Amino acid sequence: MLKKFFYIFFGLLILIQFVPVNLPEVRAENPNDLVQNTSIDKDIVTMLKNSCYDCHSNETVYPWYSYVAPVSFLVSRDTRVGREKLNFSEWNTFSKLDKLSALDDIAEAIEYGEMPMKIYPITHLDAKLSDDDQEKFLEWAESFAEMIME
Amino acid sequence: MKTALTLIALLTLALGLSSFEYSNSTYTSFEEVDTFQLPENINTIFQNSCYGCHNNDAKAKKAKMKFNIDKLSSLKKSKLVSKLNKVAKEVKNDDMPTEKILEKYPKMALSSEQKEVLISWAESTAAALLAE
Repeated sequence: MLKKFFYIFFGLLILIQFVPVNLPEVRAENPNDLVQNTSIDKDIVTMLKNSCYDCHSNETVYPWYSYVAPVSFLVSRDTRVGREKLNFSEWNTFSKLDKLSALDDIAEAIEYGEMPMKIYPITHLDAKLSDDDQEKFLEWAESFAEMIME
Repeated sequence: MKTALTLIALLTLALGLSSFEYSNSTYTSFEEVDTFQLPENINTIFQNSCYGCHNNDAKAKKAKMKFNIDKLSSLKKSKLVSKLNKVAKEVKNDDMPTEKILEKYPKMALSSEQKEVLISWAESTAAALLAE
């Protein structure tokens, strides 16, 4: 019985590897990137890169397991949706209003504990934002928004 | 003599404190007048269709955090602009009030005229704040 279960389990695991997955493309050159074009505090840059950029930029770093189904399905979807909602690689193409709204969205997502997604820091230990980090990040988002207003 | 001096000292202190408080309160009231105020027609729409969830005492934590009508006047300009932008977006996309709420409270629905008023107010106010 147990043996049969394992055969089926591994059989399925091997089978789903053949389902095509489309991991969003990684691009190294991003002339409109937020970090490249803005002077931002080093600590904040670290947080952005560690906690946000894998899904919210074109600079995704795919770990080996992101090529293995079913994890690949999740990674592919999260990265695609993440970039759709907010792509820091395209920051400079945003209007003032979109920038402000994005910063407000960011503050909401962090305050409400929606971002980074709970599943992400399990394998990306650096991605976890401490209370202190969160506070700093929120402060930055607010002052950056004020700067954009001027 | 000593008691007289103490009394005078105390009186000065009290006066000083009260004047401090006075100036403080006048300052805040000045700020309130000076900052954001909802036009009458918008306030009416808000009260009818939005305020139930988007107020200081609302139980809906998320709704309150994302958009709190009671706190609009104390927001920084940059925040206010994005909140206004979002009001326009939500109403345009018919995302607010939510379907769930409308099933329960059909009276909260926005008429198409109300939507138009709300959207154009939110957009023009945001644009004006940006241009300031």
